[in-house]
Amino acid sequence: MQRQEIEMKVCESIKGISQFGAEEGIGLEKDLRENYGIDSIALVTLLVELEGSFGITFDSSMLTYDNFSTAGAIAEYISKQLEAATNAPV
Amino acid sequence: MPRFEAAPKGSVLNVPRYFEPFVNDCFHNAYATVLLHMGLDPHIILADYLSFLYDPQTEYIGVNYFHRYSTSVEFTEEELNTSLEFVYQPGTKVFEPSSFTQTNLRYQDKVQINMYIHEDQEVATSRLKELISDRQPVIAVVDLYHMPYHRAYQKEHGLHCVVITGYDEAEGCYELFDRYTLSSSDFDGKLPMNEVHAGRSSNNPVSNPMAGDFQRPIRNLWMEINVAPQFQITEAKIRSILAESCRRMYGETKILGHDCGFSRLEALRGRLQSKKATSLDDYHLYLYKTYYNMFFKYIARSRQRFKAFINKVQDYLPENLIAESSQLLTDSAKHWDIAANVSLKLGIAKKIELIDDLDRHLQSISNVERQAIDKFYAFCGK
Repeated sequence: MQRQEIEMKVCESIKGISQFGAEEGIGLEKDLRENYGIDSIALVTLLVELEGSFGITFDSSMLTYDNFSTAGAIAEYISKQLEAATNAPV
Repeated sequence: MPRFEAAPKGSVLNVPRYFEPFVNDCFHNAYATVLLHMGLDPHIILADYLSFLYDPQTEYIGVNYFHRYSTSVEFTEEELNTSLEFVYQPGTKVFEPSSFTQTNLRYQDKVQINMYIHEDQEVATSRLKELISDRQPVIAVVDLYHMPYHRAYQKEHGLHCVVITGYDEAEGCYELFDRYTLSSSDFDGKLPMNEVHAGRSSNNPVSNPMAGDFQRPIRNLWMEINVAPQFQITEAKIRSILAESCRRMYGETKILGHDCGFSRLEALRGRLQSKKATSLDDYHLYLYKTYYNMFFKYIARSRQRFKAFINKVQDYLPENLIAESSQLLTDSAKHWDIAANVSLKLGIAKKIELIDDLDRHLQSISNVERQAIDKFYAFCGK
């Protein structure tokens, strides 16, 4: 899956749960809490949803707001997970 | 004849808008505001002992008191004085306007926080105006259901603390602010008196799978903070906070008859492991998704708060103790925060196997907190 496609899906999901500020789209580098009203509870809910959409698992040790505070950081993590799965020995 | 003739309007100016991401709760946030206004440092005055509580019977957890669901805003003196070295809180009292002259300070070396209730809105409002006229911002409790600026407005009930800094009878409004961003509160302005009165007198009905349906009437609860002129921060009290934290974490003392400290953390870990064979019913989904999520975060903030405290009193502590314990407390807070999110994920995704992930973080917490406490103990013992 292309990085752009991942980013688009992530931004769509964020838009769906944002409290405000998403009318003009989601900025990849914008802080989710400050710009879209996504608190840590909404963030974990989002990550669970993305796990289902992309067939990946977010490492529990990474589950802090600091690690996933922007759409870009989430897309980056998913991209690496998918890449690792593709390159894994069969 | 009323004992206080209120002016038609009044304001307290220059009240600081306090918020730190490590505040305990909205009460702490409001208390800190008023303490700052009084010229006192909330990071020291509101420093609570490092501790941990867990009751396997009820499954409630806490730091120095249990986060339990209560049907009342009345607390006993014993219940209110388990956390803070620098603060004394008498039990909640019905305010008696006819006999009240001034706050009697029980201790000269502690800040005193009095909690008052009164069913009569007029009595509570009259006292509010009296405090404002005396240049004291008022810490008032409201039900968020009636606060038009909050996302819970007309949707969810919940007890919340705000600071009222003024009133204007002609405009029919209060000047109020609520900068508790942990619940997405961010209001600083004027609100109609009738909305605030509705919030202060609400019956505050609540329902959840842990406690069932209940009400927690707010009864116009408000708090007043006073301190003796000779009050001061002392090294003895700072050391006492560290020493008592060690006693609590080592389990050498009890809090209102309850065991505390590392043994309770082990008890929680054991109980969670035993739940791997339990079905995820509504009770357990609420326990993980809401209760543990919320209160693991409280504990994470308590560890950050303790770090802020020891960095505030650095004149009394060795540099290496501050540096090393700060890092350990940062690590502990991070693990508590992750544990909160893992618990939430468990509740949302309904994956019971996440209990193992949760346990790993609780084990890490136990390790780093033991190192921090050992360092404090070594210092206090000298």
